[in-house]
Amino acid sequence: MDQILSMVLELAAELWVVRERVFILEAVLKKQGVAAAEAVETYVPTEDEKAVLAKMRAEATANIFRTLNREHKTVT
Amino acid sequence: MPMELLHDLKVPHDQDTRARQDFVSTLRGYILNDMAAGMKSRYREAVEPILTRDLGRAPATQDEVHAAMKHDLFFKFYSAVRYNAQEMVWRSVIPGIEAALPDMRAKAEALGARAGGSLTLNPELELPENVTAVDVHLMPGVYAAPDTPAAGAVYDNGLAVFSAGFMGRELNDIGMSMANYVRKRFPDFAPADILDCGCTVGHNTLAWARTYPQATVHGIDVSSSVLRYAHARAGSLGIPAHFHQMDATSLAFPDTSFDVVFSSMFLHELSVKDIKRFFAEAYRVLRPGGLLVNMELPPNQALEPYDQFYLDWDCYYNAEPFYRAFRDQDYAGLTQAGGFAPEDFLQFTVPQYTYMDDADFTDAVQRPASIDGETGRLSATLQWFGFGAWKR
Repeated sequence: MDQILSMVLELAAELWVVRERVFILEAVLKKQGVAAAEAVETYVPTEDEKAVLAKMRAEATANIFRTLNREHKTVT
Repeated sequence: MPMELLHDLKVPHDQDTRARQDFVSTLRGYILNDMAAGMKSRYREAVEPILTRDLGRAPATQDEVHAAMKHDLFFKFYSAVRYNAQEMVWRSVIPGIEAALPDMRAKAEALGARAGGSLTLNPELELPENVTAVDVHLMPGVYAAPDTPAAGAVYDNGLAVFSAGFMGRELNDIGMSMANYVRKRFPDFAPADILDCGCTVGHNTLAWARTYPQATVHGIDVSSSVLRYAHARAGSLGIPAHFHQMDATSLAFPDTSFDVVFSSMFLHELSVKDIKRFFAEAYRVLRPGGLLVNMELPPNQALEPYDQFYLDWDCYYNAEPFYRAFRDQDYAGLTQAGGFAPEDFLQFTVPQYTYMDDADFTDAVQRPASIDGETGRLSATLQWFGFGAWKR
Protein backbone atom coordinates (compact mmCIF):
# COMPACT_ATOMS: atom_id res chain seq x y z
CA MET A 1 0.00 0.00 0.00
CA ASP A 2 2.75 2.44 1.04
CA GLN A 3 4.63 1.81 -2.16
CA ILE A 4 1.51 2.37 -4.25
CA LEU A 5 0.93 5.63 -2.40
CA SER A 6 4.44 6.82 -3.28
CA MET A 7 3.83 5.89 -6.91
CA VAL A 8 0.46 7.73 -6.93
CA LEU A 9 2.10 10.85 -5.49
CA GLU A 10 4.86 10.77 -8.09
CA LEU A 11 2.17 10.42 -10.78
CA ALA A 12 0.31 13.40 -9.32
CA ALA A 13 3.51 15.43 -9.46
CA GLU A 14 4.17 14.42 -13.08
CA LEU A 15 0.62 15.35 -14.03
CA TRP A 16 1.02 18.74 -12.35
CA VAL A 17 4.18 19.31 -14.37
CA VAL A 18 2.20 18.80 -17.58
CA ARG A 19 -0.66 21.03 -16.45
CA GLU A 20 1.66 23.84 -15.50
CA ARG A 21 3.40 23.56 -18.85
CA VAL A 22 0.02 23.84 -20.68
CA PHE A 23 -0.80 26.90 -18.60
CA ILE A 24 2.50 28.54 -19.46
CA LEU A 25 2.16 27.54 -23.12
CA GLU A 26 -1.22 29.28 -23.30
CA ALA A 27 0.25 32.35 -21.60
CA VAL A 28 3.24 32.42 -23.99
CA LEU A 29 0.92 32.09 -27.01
CA LYS A 30 -1.21 34.95 -25.74
CA LYS A 31 1.87 37.18 -25.50
CA GLN A 32 2.56 36.31 -29.10
CA GLY A 33 -0.96 37.30 -30.10
CA VAL A 34 -2.62 33.87 -30.17
CA ALA A 35 -5.59 33.59 -27.81
CA ALA A 36 -5.09 29.85 -27.34
CA ALA A 37 -6.65 29.52 -23.88
CA GLU A 38 -9.87 31.20 -25.00
CA ALA A 39 -9.94 29.16 -28.19
CA VAL A 40 -9.62 25.93 -26.19
CA GLU A 41 -12.20 27.06 -23.67
CA THR A 42 -14.81 27.79 -26.32
CA TYR A 43 -13.89 25.01 -28.75
CA VAL A 44 -16.86 22.95 -29.88
CA PRO A 45 -15.66 19.59 -31.18
CA THR A 46 -17.22 18.24 -34.35
CA GLU A 47 -19.16 14.98 -34.11
CA ASP A 48 -16.15 13.18 -35.60
CA GLU A 49 -13.83 14.74 -33.03
CA LYS A 50 -16.23 13.80 -30.22
CA ALA A 51 -16.17 10.22 -31.46
CA VAL A 52 -12.39 10.20 -31.57
CA LEU A 53 -12.18 11.63 -28.04
CA ALA A 54 -14.72 9.09 -26.75
CA LYS A 55 -12.72 6.24 -28.28
CA MET A 56 -9.46 7.56 -26.82
CA ARG A 57 -11.05 7.89 -23.39
CA ALA A 58 -12.51 4.39 -23.49
CA GLU A 59 -9.17 2.89 -24.57
CA ALA A 60 -7.21 4.79 -21.93
CA THR A 61 -9.68 3.68 -19.26
CA ALA A 62 -9.50 0.05 -20.31
CA ASN A 63 -5.72 0.32 -20.32
CA ILE A 64 -5.61 1.54 -16.73
CA PHE A 65 -7.49 -1.54 -15.60
CA ARG A 66 -6.04 -4.06 -18.03
CA THR A 67 -4.32 -6.12 -15.34
CA LEU A 68 -7.70 -6.89 -13.78
CA ASN A 69 -8.77 -8.58 -16.98
CA ARG A 70 -6.13 -11.26 -17.18
CA GLU A 71 -7.54 -14.68 -17.81
CA HIS A 72 -8.96 -16.19 -14.67
CA LYS A 73 -7.57 -19.59 -13.85
CA THR A 74 -10.33 -22.11 -13.34
CA VAL A 75 -9.97 -23.80 -9.97
CA THR A 76 -9.72 -27.58 -10.25
CA MET B 1 -17.99 17.20 -24.49
CA PRO B 2 -20.39 16.02 -21.79
CA MET B 3 -24.12 16.07 -22.41
CA GLU B 4 -25.44 19.62 -22.20
CA LEU B 5 -28.69 20.13 -20.33
CA LEU B 6 -31.49 21.35 -22.59
CA HIS B 7 -33.01 24.09 -20.48
CA ASP B 8 -32.15 27.59 -19.24
CA LEU B 9 -30.92 26.48 -15.82
CA LYS B 10 -27.93 24.77 -17.38
CA VAL B 11 -24.65 25.67 -15.70
CA PRO B 12 -21.64 26.74 -17.76
CA HIS B 13 -18.70 24.42 -16.99
CA ASP B 14 -15.17 25.32 -18.09
CA GLN B 15 -13.08 23.11 -20.39
CA ASP B 16 -11.19 21.36 -17.60
CA THR B 17 -14.47 20.56 -15.82
CA ARG B 18 -16.06 19.31 -19.04
CA ALA B 19 -13.08 17.04 -19.62
CA ARG B 20 -13.30 15.80 -16.05
CA GLN B 21 -17.05 15.06 -16.47
CA ASP B 22 -16.33 13.17 -19.68
CA PHE B 23 -13.68 11.15 -17.87
CA VAL B 24 -16.09 10.27 -15.06
CA SER B 25 -18.85 9.27 -17.50
CA THR B 26 -16.46 7.03 -19.41
CA LEU B 27 -15.24 5.55 -16.13
CA ARG B 28 -18.84 4.83 -15.07
CA GLY B 29 -19.49 3.06 -18.37
CA TYR B 30 -16.34 0.99 -17.90
CA ILE B 31 -17.27 0.01 -14.35
CA LEU B 32 -20.84 -0.98 -15.16
CA ASN B 33 -20.02 -2.90 -18.31
CA ASP B 34 -16.43 -4.11 -18.51
CA MET B 35 -15.63 -4.40 -14.80
CA ALA B 36 -19.04 -5.87 -13.99
CA ALA B 37 -18.61 -8.54 -16.66
CA GLY B 38 -15.05 -9.22 -15.55
CA MET B 39 -16.13 -9.54 -11.95
CA LYS B 40 -18.92 -11.95 -12.81
CA SER B 41 -16.59 -14.20 -14.76
CA ARG B 42 -14.07 -13.94 -11.93
CA TYR B 43 -16.81 -15.13 -9.56
CA ARG B 44 -17.81 -18.02 -11.78
CA GLU B 45 -14.28 -19.20 -12.51
CA ALA B 46 -12.38 -18.53 -9.31
CA VAL B 47 -14.64 -17.68 -6.37
CA GLU B 48 -17.74 -19.84 -6.82
CA PRO B 49 -15.83 -23.16 -7.07
CA ILE B 50 -14.04 -22.54 -3.77
CA LEU B 51 -17.21 -21.28 -2.09
CA THR B 52 -19.12 -24.35 -3.30
CA ARG B 53 -16.37 -26.61 -1.99
CA ASP B 54 -16.35 -24.87 1.42
CA LEU B 55 -20.14 -24.85 1.79
CA GLY B 56 -20.55 -28.39 0.49
CA ARG B 57 -23.23 -27.06 -1.88
CA ALA B 58 -23.89 -24.22 -4.30
CA PRO B 59 -24.21 -20.80 -2.66
CA ALA B 60 -27.87 -20.12 -1.84
CA THR B 61 -27.90 -16.52 -0.61
CA GLN B 62 -26.36 -13.21 -1.63
CA ASP B 63 -24.79 -13.03 1.83
CA GLU B 64 -22.72 -16.14 1.09
CA VAL B 65 -21.63 -14.64 -2.23
CA HIS B 66 -20.85 -11.27 -0.64
CA ALA B 67 -18.83 -12.83 2.20
CA ALA B 68 -16.66 -14.65 -0.34
CA MET B 69 -16.35 -11.74 -2.78
CA LYS B 70 -15.39 -9.28 -0.05
CA HIS B 71 -11.93 -10.86 0.12
CA ASP B 72 -11.44 -10.97 -3.62
CA LEU B 73 -9.11 -8.41 -5.16
CA PHE B 74 -11.31 -7.89 -8.21
CA PHE B 75 -14.33 -7.03 -6.05
CA LYS B 76 -12.24 -4.70 -3.92
CA PHE B 77 -11.14 -2.83 -7.01
CA TYR B 78 -14.64 -2.79 -8.52
CA SER B 79 -16.13 -1.50 -5.31
CA ALA B 80 -13.45 1.11 -4.62
CA VAL B 81 -13.45 2.39 -8.20
CA ARG B 82 -17.25 2.54 -8.29
CA TYR B 83 -17.39 4.37 -4.96
CA ASN B 84 -14.75 6.83 -6.13
CA ALA B 85 -16.59 7.35 -9.42
CA GLN B 86 -19.74 8.20 -7.46
CA GLU B 87 -17.93 10.89 -5.47
CA MET B 88 -16.26 12.12 -8.65
CA VAL B 89 -19.68 12.60 -10.27
CA TRP B 90 -20.76 15.10 -7.62
CA ARG B 91 -17.36 16.74 -7.42
CA SER B 92 -17.32 17.30 -11.17
CA VAL B 93 -20.50 19.40 -11.07
CA ILE B 94 -20.54 21.18 -7.71
CA PRO B 95 -17.90 23.90 -8.32
CA GLY B 96 -19.66 25.08 -11.51
CA ILE B 97 -23.02 25.07 -9.72
CA GLU B 98 -21.68 27.07 -6.79
CA ALA B 99 -20.40 29.71 -9.21
CA ALA B 100 -23.69 29.79 -11.13
CA LEU B 101 -26.01 29.71 -8.11
CA PRO B 102 -26.68 33.45 -7.66
CA ASP B 103 -27.69 33.71 -11.32
CA MET B 104 -29.76 30.53 -11.06
CA ARG B 105 -31.65 31.78 -8.01
CA ALA B 106 -32.44 35.04 -9.82
CA LYS B 107 -33.72 33.21 -12.90
CA ALA B 108 -35.65 30.40 -11.21
CA GLU B 109 -38.81 32.24 -10.28
CA ALA B 110 -39.24 33.91 -13.68
CA LEU B 111 -38.63 30.63 -15.51
CA GLY B 112 -41.13 28.81 -13.31
CA ALA B 113 -43.87 31.26 -14.23
CA ARG B 114 -43.51 30.57 -17.96
CA ALA B 115 -45.52 27.41 -18.59
CA GLY B 116 -48.66 27.58 -16.46
CA GLY B 117 -47.45 25.13 -13.83
CA SER B 118 -47.22 25.80 -10.11
CA LEU B 119 -45.03 25.38 -7.06
CA THR B 120 -46.54 24.90 -3.61
CA LEU B 121 -44.04 24.69 -0.78
CA ASN B 122 -44.75 23.70 2.80
CA PRO B 123 -42.18 25.14 5.21
CA GLU B 124 -43.88 23.26 8.05
CA LEU B 125 -43.10 19.87 6.52
CA GLU B 126 -40.63 17.99 8.65
CA LEU B 127 -37.99 16.34 6.52
CA PRO B 128 -37.98 12.59 7.10
CA GLU B 129 -34.90 10.98 8.54
CA ASN B 130 -34.18 8.89 5.47
CA VAL B 131 -33.28 12.17 3.71
CA THR B 132 -31.55 14.04 6.53
CA ALA B 133 -29.58 11.30 8.26
CA VAL B 134 -27.50 10.13 5.31
CA ASP B 135 -25.97 11.68 2.19
CA VAL B 136 -28.17 9.53 -0.03
CA HIS B 137 -26.20 8.08 -2.99
CA LEU B 138 -23.25 10.07 -1.65
CA MET B 139 -24.81 13.32 -2.89
CA PRO B 140 -23.58 16.03 -0.50
CA GLY B 141 -26.37 16.90 1.93
CA VAL B 142 -28.30 19.65 0.18
CA TYR B 143 -31.70 17.96 -0.09
CA ALA B 144 -32.40 19.80 3.16
CA ALA B 145 -31.42 23.30 1.96
CA PRO B 146 -34.68 25.28 1.90
CA ASP B 147 -34.17 28.52 0.01
CA THR B 148 -32.13 27.57 -3.03
CA PRO B 149 -32.51 25.39 -6.11
CA ALA B 150 -29.02 24.01 -5.40
CA ALA B 151 -30.04 20.42 -4.68
CA GLY B 152 -31.93 20.25 -7.94
CA ALA B 153 -28.95 21.59 -9.85
CA VAL B 154 -26.60 19.07 -8.23
CA TYR B 155 -28.97 16.22 -9.04
CA ASP B 156 -29.67 17.34 -12.63
CA ASN B 157 -26.05 18.06 -13.53
CA GLY B 158 -24.85 15.02 -11.60
CA LEU B 159 -27.33 12.69 -13.30
CA ALA B 160 -26.13 13.90 -16.71
CA VAL B 161 -22.62 12.70 -15.81
CA PHE B 162 -23.79 9.60 -13.90
CA SER B 163 -26.02 8.30 -16.66
CA ALA B 164 -23.24 8.61 -19.27
CA GLY B 165 -25.81 9.29 -21.98
CA PHE B 166 -27.98 6.25 -21.16
CA MET B 167 -31.03 8.16 -20.00
CA GLY B 168 -31.71 10.49 -22.90
CA ARG B 169 -31.07 14.21 -23.44
CA GLU B 170 -33.70 15.19 -20.87
CA LEU B 171 -32.62 12.45 -18.44
CA ASN B 172 -36.16 11.15 -18.75
CA ASP B 173 -35.87 7.77 -20.43
CA ILE B 174 -37.24 6.01 -17.36
CA GLY B 175 -40.37 8.17 -17.36
CA MET B 176 -40.77 8.00 -21.14
CA SER B 177 -40.35 4.22 -21.18
CA MET B 178 -42.73 3.62 -18.27
CA ALA B 179 -45.40 6.08 -19.46
CA ASN B 180 -45.27 4.77 -23.02
CA TYR B 181 -45.42 1.20 -21.75
CA VAL B 182 -48.71 2.07 -20.08
CA ARG B 183 -49.95 3.96 -23.14
CA LYS B 184 -49.15 1.11 -25.53
CA ARG B 185 -50.12 -1.78 -23.29
CA PHE B 186 -53.39 -0.24 -22.10
CA PRO B 187 -54.52 1.91 -25.04
CA ASP B 188 -58.01 2.48 -23.59
CA PHE B 189 -56.59 3.95 -20.38
CA ALA B 190 -56.87 7.75 -20.47
CA PRO B 191 -55.57 9.19 -17.20
CA ALA B 192 -56.71 12.74 -16.45
CA ASP B 193 -54.59 13.32 -13.33
CA ILE B 194 -51.11 11.90 -12.78
CA LEU B 195 -48.92 12.06 -9.67
CA ASP B 196 -45.15 11.47 -9.59
CA CYS B 197 -43.90 10.77 -6.05
CA GLY B 198 -40.32 11.58 -5.07
CA CYS B 199 -40.14 13.55 -8.33
CA THR B 200 -36.80 15.31 -7.59
CA VAL B 201 -36.20 17.63 -10.58
CA GLY B 202 -39.31 16.55 -12.46
CA HIS B 203 -37.41 14.84 -15.25
CA ASN B 204 -39.78 11.86 -15.24
CA THR B 205 -42.81 13.94 -14.21
CA LEU B 206 -42.65 15.82 -17.49
CA ALA B 207 -42.30 12.53 -19.40
CA TRP B 208 -45.84 11.67 -18.27
CA ALA B 209 -47.01 15.11 -19.39
CA ARG B 210 -45.45 14.52 -22.82
CA THR B 211 -47.00 11.06 -23.11
CA TYR B 212 -50.47 12.07 -21.91
CA PRO B 213 -50.75 15.70 -23.05
CA GLN B 214 -54.43 15.86 -22.00
CA ALA B 215 -53.60 15.00 -18.39
CA THR B 216 -52.81 17.32 -15.49
CA VAL B 217 -49.50 16.27 -14.02
CA HIS B 218 -48.28 16.72 -10.44
CA GLY B 219 -44.96 15.98 -8.80
CA ILE B 220 -44.20 15.79 -5.08
CA ASP B 221 -41.00 15.67 -3.08
CA VAL B 222 -40.01 16.44 0.51
CA SER B 223 -37.19 18.78 -0.62
CA SER B 224 -38.14 22.38 -1.41
CA SER B 225 -34.74 22.80 -3.06
CA VAL B 226 -35.31 20.20 -5.77
CA LEU B 227 -38.87 21.43 -6.26
CA ARG B 228 -37.75 25.03 -6.85
CA TYR B 229 -35.44 23.70 -9.51
CA ALA B 230 -38.10 21.36 -10.95
CA HIS B 231 -40.60 24.20 -11.31
CA ALA B 232 -38.08 26.45 -13.08
CA ARG B 233 -36.91 23.58 -15.27
CA ALA B 234 -40.46 22.72 -16.36
CA GLY B 235 -41.14 26.37 -17.10
CA SER B 236 -38.00 26.57 -19.20
CA LEU B 237 -39.04 23.47 -21.15
CA GLY B 238 -42.54 24.90 -21.60
CA ILE B 239 -44.39 22.01 -19.94
CA PRO B 240 -47.02 22.74 -17.28
CA ALA B 241 -46.67 20.63 -14.14
CA HIS B 242 -47.68 21.25 -10.55
CA PHE B 243 -45.02 20.68 -7.93
CA HIS B 244 -45.84 20.28 -4.25
CA GLN B 245 -43.68 19.83 -1.19
CA MET B 246 -45.19 16.74 0.37
CA ASP B 247 -44.24 13.45 2.00
CA ALA B 248 -45.47 10.48 -0.06
CA THR B 249 -46.36 8.61 3.13
CA SER B 250 -48.87 11.31 4.05
CA LEU B 251 -50.29 12.94 0.93
CA ALA B 252 -52.25 16.17 1.34
CA PHE B 253 -54.56 15.25 -1.53
CA PRO B 254 -58.20 14.19 -1.10
CA ASP B 255 -59.28 10.61 -1.79
CA THR B 256 -59.69 9.59 -5.43
CA SER B 257 -57.72 12.52 -6.87
CA PHE B 258 -55.56 10.66 -9.41
CA ASP B 259 -55.62 8.11 -12.18
CA VAL B 260 -51.90 7.31 -12.02
CA VAL B 261 -49.53 7.32 -9.06
CA PHE B 262 -45.97 6.84 -10.28
CA SER B 263 -42.54 6.62 -8.74
CA SER B 264 -39.08 6.03 -10.17
CA MET B 265 -35.99 4.92 -8.24
CA PHE B 266 -37.81 6.11 -5.13
CA LEU B 267 -38.94 3.07 -3.16
CA HIS B 268 -35.38 2.07 -2.23
CA GLU B 269 -35.02 5.38 -0.38
CA LEU B 270 -37.75 4.33 2.06
CA SER B 271 -38.01 1.82 4.87
CA VAL B 272 -40.35 -1.09 4.14
CA LYS B 273 -42.78 0.39 6.66
CA ASP B 274 -42.79 3.68 4.73
CA ILE B 275 -43.24 1.91 1.39
CA LYS B 276 -46.39 0.28 2.76
CA ARG B 277 -47.59 3.68 4.02
CA PHE B 278 -46.90 5.19 0.61
CA PHE B 279 -48.78 2.37 -1.15
CA ALA B 280 -51.73 2.83 1.20
CA GLU B 281 -51.73 6.56 0.35
CA ALA B 282 -51.49 5.72 -3.34
CA TYR B 283 -54.52 3.45 -2.99
CA ARG B 284 -56.44 6.17 -1.20
CA VAL B 285 -55.77 8.92 -3.75
CA LEU B 286 -56.31 6.71 -6.81
CA ARG B 287 -59.68 6.64 -8.45
CA PRO B 288 -61.22 3.24 -9.27
CA GLY B 289 -59.64 2.11 -12.53
CA GLY B 290 -56.44 3.95 -11.63
CA LEU B 291 -52.90 2.59 -11.67
CA LEU B 292 -50.00 2.56 -9.22
CA VAL B 293 -46.78 2.01 -11.15
CA ASN B 294 -43.19 2.13 -9.85
CA MET B 295 -39.88 1.82 -11.62
CA GLU B 296 -37.23 0.08 -9.55
CA LEU B 297 -34.65 -2.67 -9.57
CA PRO B 298 -36.20 -6.16 -9.73
CA PRO B 299 -36.85 -8.20 -6.58
CA ASN B 300 -34.16 -10.46 -5.21
CA GLN B 301 -36.46 -13.48 -5.36
CA ALA B 302 -36.35 -13.30 -9.18
CA LEU B 303 -32.55 -13.44 -9.30
CA GLU B 304 -29.65 -15.83 -8.71
CA PRO B 305 -27.61 -15.16 -5.55
CA TYR B 306 -24.75 -13.52 -7.50
CA ASP B 307 -27.10 -11.11 -9.29
CA GLN B 308 -28.85 -10.26 -6.02
CA PHE B 309 -25.45 -9.44 -4.53
CA TYR B 310 -24.48 -7.42 -7.60
CA LEU B 311 -27.61 -5.25 -7.59
CA ASP B 312 -27.57 -4.65 -3.84
CA TRP B 313 -24.10 -3.07 -3.99
CA ASP B 314 -25.62 0.37 -3.44
CA CYS B 315 -27.12 -0.76 -0.15
CA TYR B 316 -23.72 -1.58 1.34
CA TYR B 317 -21.39 0.80 -0.43
CA ASN B 318 -23.34 3.76 -1.83
CA ALA B 319 -25.26 5.15 1.16
CA GLU B 320 -28.58 3.57 0.17
CA PRO B 321 -29.24 1.72 3.42
CA PHE B 322 -32.83 0.70 2.67
CA TYR B 323 -32.16 -0.99 -0.65
CA ARG B 324 -31.71 -4.60 0.44
CA ALA B 325 -34.71 -4.72 2.76
CA PHE B 326 -36.90 -3.41 -0.05
CA ARG B 327 -35.55 -5.80 -2.68
CA ASP B 328 -35.97 -8.76 -0.33
CA GLN B 329 -39.71 -8.07 -0.25
CA ASP B 330 -42.37 -9.84 -2.23
CA TYR B 331 -43.43 -6.87 -4.36
CA ALA B 332 -46.98 -8.17 -4.84
CA GLY B 333 -47.26 -8.43 -1.06
CA LEU B 334 -46.22 -4.79 -0.75
CA THR B 335 -49.05 -3.65 -3.02
CA GLN B 336 -51.50 -5.83 -1.05
CA ALA B 337 -50.30 -4.18 2.16
CA GLY B 338 -51.43 -0.93 0.56
CA GLY B 339 -54.91 -2.31 -0.09
CA PHE B 340 -54.57 -3.46 -3.70
CA ALA B 341 -56.05 -6.85 -4.62
CA PRO B 342 -53.64 -9.69 -5.46
CA GLU B 343 -55.16 -10.23 -8.90
CA ASP B 344 -54.54 -6.59 -9.82
CA PHE B 345 -50.75 -6.78 -9.37
CA LEU B 346 -48.66 -6.20 -12.45
CA GLN B 347 -44.97 -6.31 -13.22
CA PHE B 348 -43.14 -5.83 -16.47
CA THR B 349 -39.84 -5.10 -18.14
CA VAL B 350 -39.59 -2.52 -20.88
CA PRO B 351 -36.74 -1.48 -23.19
CA GLN B 352 -35.62 2.09 -23.67
CA TYR B 353 -38.27 4.17 -25.40
CA THR B 354 -35.81 6.95 -26.22
CA TYR B 355 -33.58 4.71 -28.31
CA MET B 356 -36.05 2.39 -30.00
CA ASP B 357 -38.26 2.90 -32.95
CA ASP B 358 -41.95 2.96 -32.24
CA ALA B 359 -42.82 -0.35 -33.92
CA ASP B 360 -40.12 -2.28 -32.04
CA PHE B 361 -41.16 -0.67 -28.77
CA THR B 362 -44.82 -1.52 -29.37
CA ASP B 363 -43.85 -5.18 -29.99
CA ALA B 364 -41.63 -5.32 -26.93
CA VAL B 365 -44.44 -4.02 -24.72
CA GLN B 366 -46.61 -7.06 -25.44
CA ARG B 367 -44.05 -9.52 -24.07
CA PRO B 368 -44.22 -10.76 -20.49
CA ALA B 369 -41.70 -9.54 -17.92
CA SER B 370 -38.25 -10.98 -18.45
CA ILE B 371 -36.03 -10.52 -15.43
CA ASP B 372 -32.39 -11.49 -15.34
CA GLY B 373 -29.07 -10.25 -14.04
CA GLU B 374 -29.01 -7.43 -16.59
CA THR B 375 -32.42 -5.93 -15.73
CA GLY B 376 -32.29 -2.33 -14.58
CA ARG B 377 -28.57 -1.99 -15.25
CA LEU B 378 -27.18 0.87 -17.34
CA SER B 379 -25.86 -1.05 -20.31
CA ALA B 380 -26.34 -1.45 -24.01
CA THR B 381 -29.20 -3.94 -23.48
CA LEU B 382 -31.02 -1.96 -20.85
CA GLN B 383 -34.49 -2.98 -19.73
CA TRP B 384 -36.32 -1.08 -17.00
CA PHE B 385 -38.36 -3.03 -14.46
CA GLY B 386 -41.72 -1.77 -13.28
CA PHE B 387 -44.38 -3.04 -10.94
CA GLY B 388 -47.57 -1.90 -9.29
CA ALA B 389 -51.28 -2.55 -9.23
CA TRP B 390 -54.63 -1.40 -10.57
CA LYS B 391 -57.23 -0.10 -8.19
CA ARG B 392 -60.44 -1.78 -9.24
